[in-house]
Formats: sequence, structure tokens, C-alpha cells
Amino acid sequence: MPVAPRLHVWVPDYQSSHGGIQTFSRFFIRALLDCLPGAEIEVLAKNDDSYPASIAGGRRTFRCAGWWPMPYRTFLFAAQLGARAIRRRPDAILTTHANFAPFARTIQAVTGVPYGVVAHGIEVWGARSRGLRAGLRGASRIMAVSAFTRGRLLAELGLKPAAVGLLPNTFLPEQFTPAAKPNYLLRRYGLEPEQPVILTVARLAGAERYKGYDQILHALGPLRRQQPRVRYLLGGRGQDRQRIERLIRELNLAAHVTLVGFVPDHELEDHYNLCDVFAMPSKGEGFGIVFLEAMACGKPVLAGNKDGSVDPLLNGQLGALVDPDDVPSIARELELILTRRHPLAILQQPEELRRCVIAAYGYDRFVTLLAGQLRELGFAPAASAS
Amino acid sequence: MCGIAGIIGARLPGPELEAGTERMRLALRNRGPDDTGTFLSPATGVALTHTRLAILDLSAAGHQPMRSPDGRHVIVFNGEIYNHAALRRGLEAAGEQFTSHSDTEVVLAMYRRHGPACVHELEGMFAFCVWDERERTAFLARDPFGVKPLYYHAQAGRLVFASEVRAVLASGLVPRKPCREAVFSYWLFGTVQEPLTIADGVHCLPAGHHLTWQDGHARVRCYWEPQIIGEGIAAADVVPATRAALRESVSRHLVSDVPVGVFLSGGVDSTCVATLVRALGGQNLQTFCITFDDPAFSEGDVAASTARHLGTQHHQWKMDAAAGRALLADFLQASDQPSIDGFNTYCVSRFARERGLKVVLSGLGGDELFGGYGSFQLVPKLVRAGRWASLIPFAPMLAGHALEALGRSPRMGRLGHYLTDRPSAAGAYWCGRGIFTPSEAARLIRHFLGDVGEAVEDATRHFSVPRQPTLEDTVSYLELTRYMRNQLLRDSDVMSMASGLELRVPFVDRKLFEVLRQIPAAIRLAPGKELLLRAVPEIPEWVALAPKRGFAFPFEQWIAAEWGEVFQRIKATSPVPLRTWYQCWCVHALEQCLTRLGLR
Repeated sequence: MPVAPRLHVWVPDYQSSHGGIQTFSRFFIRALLDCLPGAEIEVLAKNDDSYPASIAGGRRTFRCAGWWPMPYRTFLFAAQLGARAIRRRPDAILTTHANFAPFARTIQAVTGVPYGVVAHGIEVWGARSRGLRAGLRGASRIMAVSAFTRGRLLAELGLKPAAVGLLPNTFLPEQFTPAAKPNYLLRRYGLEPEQPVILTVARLAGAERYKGYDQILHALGPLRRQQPRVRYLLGGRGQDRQRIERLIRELNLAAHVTLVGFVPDHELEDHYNLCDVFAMPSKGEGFGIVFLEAMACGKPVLAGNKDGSVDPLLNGQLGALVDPDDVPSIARELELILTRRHPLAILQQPEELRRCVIAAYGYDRFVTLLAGQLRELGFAPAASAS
Repeated sequence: MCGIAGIIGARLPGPELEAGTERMRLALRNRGPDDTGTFLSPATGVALTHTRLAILDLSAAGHQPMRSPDGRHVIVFNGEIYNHAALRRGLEAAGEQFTSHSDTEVVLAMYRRHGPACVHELEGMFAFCVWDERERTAFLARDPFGVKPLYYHAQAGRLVFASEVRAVLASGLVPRKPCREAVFSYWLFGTVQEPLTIADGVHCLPAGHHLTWQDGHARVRCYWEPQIIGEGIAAADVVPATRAALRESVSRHLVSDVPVGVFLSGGVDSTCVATLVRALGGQNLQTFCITFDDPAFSEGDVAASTARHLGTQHHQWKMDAAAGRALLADFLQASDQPSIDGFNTYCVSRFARERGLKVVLSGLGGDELFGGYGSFQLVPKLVRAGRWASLIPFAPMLAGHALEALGRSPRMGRLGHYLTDRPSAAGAYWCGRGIFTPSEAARLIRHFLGDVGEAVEDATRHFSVPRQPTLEDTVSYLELTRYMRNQLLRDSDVMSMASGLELRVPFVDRKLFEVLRQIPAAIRLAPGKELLLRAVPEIPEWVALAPKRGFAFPFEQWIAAEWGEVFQRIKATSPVPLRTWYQCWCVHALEQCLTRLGLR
């Protein structure tokens, strides 16, 4: 491989939306620039329609297709990807979403350019599409964001373990730091400082009910008998909201639940610091960056034990893992955390929790892991990235 | 409303620290004619200084820099906190004791109690610095929309900050060098885009951000940004919710211990503000307007009719070319960073101050929130047309290059450049608001400052626009965060303070925005400011039905006469054709600024 390789990076979104894969994509590109400072990197984003200043200049270019109307966007973006790859002949194509893998395989067949794919969660678990399966099998390198996803890929696609590496999500520790409960949020939600608060932040879409907020609502029934002042803050927006509001009425939980709506990025840290436990007993999480962010704020987290959530919680070393379908168990664990009686000592040690999560998933660690993956692809990352 | 400045962490002998602080204070003296004060701590290398325009608590108890009762914290504050009385009551209930009625003391107490999170509690416009003697940290913050400015230089372990760039430079601790990237952005937009400033190494603390300085390092963080949601208020509630939010905002902005006036043009926004002030019971309201001989510019008759209708004490100043020209030199001298705007605010502020007013409300911000600019129609059209045009391979690019090269007006040149690139909202916005094309800007910058540098070449494309619910919302976001923030608010602050006048902007209010952002764009940004007119039906029909004109001056005629020779020279030496008066003015204002600030 050349000292200054030429790379094409295909991402669904860079800055046009909020979500786990988008956040991962931003970190991935940033770390790529750190690992291969001399590389010519061309980022192609499907849904963006403006140019980020952070990528401009030098040997970096950013192209996007977000201004195309949705019916044509996929086709035109694919045409752009193909044209750029054929014209520029990069040394490799890296994509942060598996949906691009089938097309990368086509490009590989035409041009011989190898490709690497990042695999997150539900988009690859139990993949039935022949194109997707072939796209994943044809990749020179798959980078799974969690051991859980990696295990499923190996089992379901019959891949060799050496072909699938691990590149877990990351976060910026300086953006998520422990602090007192912010007064403005206490006032906004009508809370007392000592009032126990459970927080979930998720997209409230029908397709994302696997996040487990329904189970928490059901768990509030028994929990409020032990914790009469408990308040559940559910952040996020989406079309599932009306159904959730109905459920809250049916369960007679109006006094215990606040639907806080969309939580903007600049208020996320404050919301973590507002809560006493961050709970998301999900069943379909590829990883769950929100767990890292909450733990970096020193907050105990509760997650499901049947998906990629086990990774950020280090298999239960950093947080409480529960059966996401077991409502009584969820209520019991929440009660133990809120009363500081949980047997996992680190849940009562915010500074230690923060230290551990930074050591395991801080950005520096991410760069080191990406450097390892790039080495597997035949590149020579900068020494500082190792 | 005042001027603030400071030096933190300077390893300087006491007399040098004092001299640097004194120079900064003098550079800000026009901002605060009522009082001045300085805090010096040579042992820690800290100096804070303040020039005061007294609005709340006119007594000496409001003197700044202000120390906390235990002496640990020192604050310098510029702005107004409209909910200071409510915050004070809460703090008193929690055991705090106050010695003044000023909002500065409340801000200090809020910081002591809540730390950086205090900014979420403050309703108003502000820029301040709190120095913590015990922890040796400094905390600087700027209000959500950036009504009040704050500039800083953080290097070599020290922090220098002030309300104006010239005051930062006056410290003598910052090398005087122009910032190429800033000059490039100035050629493109007619104003320097934050966080850049015209001086290399001096940054503008972005709106809605705070800065923490500790151990010689500065960390800047965003605490608020204008995110449009486009849902959350039912259609039936939109008009009453808008009216209630507007009334509350105007009511908040009337908090003062001195009389408050209104800048009243013939437009909807200023009429709305004056109408709501009267509806809130504002007695003896004084309104101010500038009129001209030229009926193409003068809105004097409309404003006078409105003033009669509202029963205000109306002041009109009929300006002629001679009076305008006489003020232009003073106006340039009062400028901080270069701008192609601001003269109108300078004149009307001076007029209001001469009539004894210290505080005036303005309708600034109404166009950005309620879709009052042509850009709300132009940008979506350009983007959509661009998308379809780009289906024909090479056609838009060829047409664009042809237009850029052969177009006879700056507008055609910008349109040409826009066509050569992908049709983004940012590009279309620049096409409507821009001054020079990037290639012209590159030639100008080479002429003025030498080589351009690769990183600044195409800043029209490289600014981030967070995704908004609709294209029209994107325009609103751009108008709020680019034109309003970098031009209108910056010019308004400098030009009103040049006369020692506090300008308040009830439309530029976080709480108001947080209501309006929940209204779908189709209603909120409906043409003709329909929502605003429905929310404030008292606005008289001669205003409501009049075509939009903006607050314009017959500038072209005045400057052509006054600076005819200068403009001839500029045109003769310019590396790009200067086809309009504002392009000439743009070059002239930059030349003046570079000379005034000693940047070349």
C-alpha cells in the first residue's frame, strides 16, 4: 500500500441527522484523519446537503447528495459513488453502513478496489437479503461495533473470525462530565433536586420500540410503590408518541412520566446529569453510545442483556444488565439503583465509573483500534495512532 | 449595557498590567459614559475593567468590577438580565443577601450557586466574565443569540478579552495582524463571520457558548443553539401562543430604571413592538424615526401616522445629504470591524441619545423569525431549480462559468458561481446575500494581503448547516445565525454604544424563539409575515398592507458625493471590477478598518 493512500469513505449521514450510526461516522472519519494524516480521503455522504468545515481543505474532500429528492437519491448517490470510484481508483473503500456493502462489492468486481464495512446491529443481524449477505462476505474487513454483533455475524454468515474485527463506538469525555443536577432542567420539568429521576433518550418511532421504554413504563407501576416520587423522563420525538401518551394514561402514570421531546445535543449532558439512572432495556441495540455518555457523567445505567448493550457495560462490570422482557426484574434493579443498594459497587462510584468507561471506550482507544483495523487492510497508520 | 475587558494569567509586572488594562478601558470608553472601574491583581496576573452605562440601579452600588461578599469572585458584566428580579427573589429565599438592585449582582450570585449552568437561567442579553480568585479560573459567557459581543485572544497561557476587537488589540498583548480567513469571509458576505475576527488570533466567542479558562487553557462549549422543531403547537393555538410569547418578550424588555423608547420606522416589526409596548400600558412612550427628502427612502409619513395612532411622543429627524455626509466620518471612526451596514443605526441612535434616551427597543429579528426577507422565497427556488438543472450533465456548470465570467452585475456573478457548484442551501443563501464571488475575493485578498492560502479558498460551500425540518426553516436558521448575528446584531451593538445608547431587541429572545420554533414553517414563515399580523391585529393597515422596504438610506448619493475621489481611486486600483456602490464601500470600509486597527 502507498504511504499516502487514497480512500473513499461512504456514509449515510455526516451531520444531517442525529443517531448512533451518524455519530459513529463522524468519529470514524475524524479517527481516520488521525490515523492516516497524509491520506487522500474523499467522504461521500448520502443524506447531507451542506459541507462540514472540519473536512474541507488539503487532500480531503466531501461530497454529498442530500439535495436530491428521496425517490432519486439512492440511484443518483450510487451513480456518484461508482463514478468517483472508477475515476479515482481509491486504494480502498470504507463504509460505515452495511447497506452500502452490496454496491461496494459491485465496484470491487469492476475495479478491483477492496472494501471494508462497519457493522452496527439490526441492519446486519439475521440478514436475509442475498445482496447484503454477499456484500458482507465479500468485504476485505468487517468492523463490528460490538462483540455481540461480531458473534452474530460469525454465526449467521459463517465468516472466518479473522475477517471480522472489533471497533466499538466512542465518545468525547470532555463533552460528558459529571455535574450537579442542572437547576434549569429541574425547573423545566418541575422536579425537586432529591427526587429520583430515570432517563431514557431514544427515537420514539414504532420501529424502535425495542429500546424498551414500554417496559420501563410498565415497571413504574411496582416501582412507584417503593419510590412514590419517582419521575421517568423519556426524551425523543417520533410518531410513537401518541401511543405512548395513551399507554401512560392507561397505566395511570401521568404524575410519574414526562415526555420531554427532542433533546438537543447541547442539552444532552445536562439531561444525563439530571437523572439518577439512565435506563434503556433494549432488545435491538447494536451498541448504544448513550450508555457511554451517561456513564461518563458518572450515572448508573441499566441495559438489556440480549443485544449489543452488553458491550458498553462490559458484560455487566459497569452497569446493570437485565432481561429486557422481565418487567419485575427491571423494576427491582431500578429500585436497587435508586436506593443505592445495588450490589454492583461501581454504580455508587461516579468518578470510578467515568474513569473505567474512558479507559475502555475513550476516543484515544478508538483511534488505536481503528489503526489495528487499517493494518489488517494493509495500511500503515501513523505511529501516534497505535 | 457597558463595555468589559480583561487580562487573565498574564505574567507581567504590575505597571505593565495596569497600563494594558487602562488602554483597553479607554478603547471602550464610549460604551460606558456613566462610570468606570478596574480590578487589578498583579500577583495572579489578572486585571478586569469596566465602563458603565447605568440602566438598572443607577447608584454607586452597581459599580463594576463587582466582588462577591467573600471576595472570592469578581465579575464584569455587559448586558441586561430581564428576569433579574425573579432570580433575586429565588436567591434571597435560598439565603443570599444583596447590597444593590443591579442585575450584575444577581448574575454573580447565580454563578456562585450554579456554576456554568447559570447561563440557562438568565433571560436577556449578556456577555460577562467571572474570575474565581480561589480556583484561579475564569468563566466567560455570551447570550444565546449573540446580542452582546465578546472577543478573546487565548495564547501562551493567557487570556485577553473585551467587548470590542479594538480593545483586545489595545492591550498590547496581541500581535496586530489581519486574519486572512476573516477578510475572505468579509469579501464574500460584507461582514466577518464569527468566530473569526478581522484580527488574527482574536476570536469571537460564538453566540450561545461559554468559555472556561483554567491552568492557561481555554475550553469553549456550546450551551444553546437555535434548533427549529416545526411541531408541538396545535394549529388552533398558534396565533394565541405567538401573541402571548410576543407580549411576554416585549414586557421583559421594558425592565429599566430609565425611560425606554422605540425605534419606529414604517415597517411591521417596529410597529409591532411599539404597539405591544402601548398595549402593555407603556405611558409617555417616545418613538424615533429618521426621514429623508427622497420619498423613495422616507417612511416618515407612515411612522408619523402610526405614532399618532398609538399616541406616542414622536421624534423625527429629517436628514439631508449634508447632514448624512457630516456623520459618515464619525460613523467610520465608531466602527469596530468592517461592515457594509450600520450607518442607519448609528444615526438614529445618536438622534435618540441627543433626545435624552438611554434605552430603545428595535424591531430587529422580526424578518428572520417570521419570514420577512426575500431569501425565504429565493433560496428554496434556487435550490430546487439547481437540483433539476443538475440533471443535465455539465449544463449548469457551463452556464455558471459563462455567467460568472460575463455577467454584468454582481448578482449575475454570484448566480454563476452558485451554478458551478452543487445546489446547496448554504450556496443559494450566499448567492442572495453575498458581495463578491470566491474568485473575486481571492483576487482582492491577494491585492490587499498577499497570498490567500489554500484553506480559505471556498468558504461559501464550507459552512455547516444543521438539518432543519424544511428548506424554509433552513433559511430562517441561516438568517438568524449568519446575517442577523454577524451583521445586524454586531452593527447594532457597536453603533448604538457609540452614542451611549442601549438597544434592546424583543424579537431576539430565547423564550420567544422556543415557542415559535414549534410552529410549522408553512404557518410561521408564510409570506407577508401573516402570522405576526394575525398575532398583533392592532398593527394599523397602512403598515400591514404596505410593501416591505427595509430601513434604507439614500446612501449611494451621499457617498458618491463625499467619497467620489476615494471611490475613483479604489475602482482604479481594484483587481476586480467594482460595479456597485456597496462593493466600493466594502473595499473602503476594509481599508479604513485595517488602518484604524493598525493591522497593516
